Amino acid sequence: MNLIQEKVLVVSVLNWIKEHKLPGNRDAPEITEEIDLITDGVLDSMGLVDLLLFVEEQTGRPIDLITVEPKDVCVVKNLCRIALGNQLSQPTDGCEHAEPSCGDVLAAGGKV
Amino acid sequence: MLNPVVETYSLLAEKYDDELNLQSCWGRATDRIQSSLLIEDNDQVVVDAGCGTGRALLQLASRSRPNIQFIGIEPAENMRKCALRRIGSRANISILDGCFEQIPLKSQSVDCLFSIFAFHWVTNLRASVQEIRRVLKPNGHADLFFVGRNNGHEFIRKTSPIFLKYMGPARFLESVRMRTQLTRQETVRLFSETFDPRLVSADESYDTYYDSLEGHWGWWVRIEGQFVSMPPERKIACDQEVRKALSDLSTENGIPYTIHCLHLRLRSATDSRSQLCH
Repeated sequence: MNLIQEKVLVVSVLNWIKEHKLPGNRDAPEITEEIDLITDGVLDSMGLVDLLLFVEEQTGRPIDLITVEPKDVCVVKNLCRIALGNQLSQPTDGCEHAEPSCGDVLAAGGKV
Repeated sequence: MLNPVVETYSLLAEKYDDELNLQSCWGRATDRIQSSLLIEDNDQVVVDAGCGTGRALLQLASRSRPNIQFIGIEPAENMRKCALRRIGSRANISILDGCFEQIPLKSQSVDCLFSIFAFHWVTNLRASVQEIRRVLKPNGHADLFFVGRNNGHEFIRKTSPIFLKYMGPARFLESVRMRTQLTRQETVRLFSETFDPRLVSADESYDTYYDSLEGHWGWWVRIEGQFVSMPPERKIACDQEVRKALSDLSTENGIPYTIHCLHLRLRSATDSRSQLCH
């Protein structure tokens, strides 16, 4: 699993969402890699279609939607993972802290 | 390959003119557009693309000169049957099998083409625009009214998580893609690729309609085609959850639904008037 690549994609996707989020939703939460974009009203259904197209452009590979669950495409962290062909994480055992954070990636040159 | 939207419209054709649908927000919006349509003095051939059960066509023909030829184009077989039944023996109205992508008319044969809430179902945008261009006379004109990108945002927000859950991401996103969702700017850009941009213009409107749950459910027939891929055993449970979610939108005025309507106008170069439909 290429975690650096995945974190870069997460940042890129979050930026895209900030540009394309639904206007006027005062109840929308802060946009993070953990929120559910549809349930939380950040994107509508067409926005989700556009987002998947964007992710596929970024990775250069199609996302297999047949075998995934709603949470896999509506949560940025999961979406980026499956888009890169990485396995979704199991319940945390404490090792996740070893992964680089978004902040690490930003420090390495990512843009927000 | 069969078009699920067309097939579903055909299956549900007999329900299409139910009072609940006609009195719904879509029925009222359609009536408003219908009554705004005007025929020009020189028009001889008038086409309704996606004529459905022929209500608009008959209404327009009833208040126009009898020597004008009215043609309804409709891909759903049973909708055409309803339309034929409605027009009866009127000699100046005909109903043909066709769609935006394939209009069964000669090139440069149409003076006026209009369409009410059908263009968003096209499967090939560019082919459809080119087909409109092909059949319109050089001095012909067109008015297309269709659903825009921000349509029904109240319902979409509430129901998307439910449809995602019951359909799964693949089927859900496929259903979303069945309906074209253009912005006003994208609409102008699209038609300006094929027509002289000086002849293309588009307006948009946002009208919020309040109704009861049953009132809104009355027009659900219009979108059933997007959900045919849902396994039938899940459909009942899904509908129940959707109804509950829509009930949660209730206000003292009823349940709101905002129609984002785009009105695309094509005018001939010789037409000095800026507007036909007011």
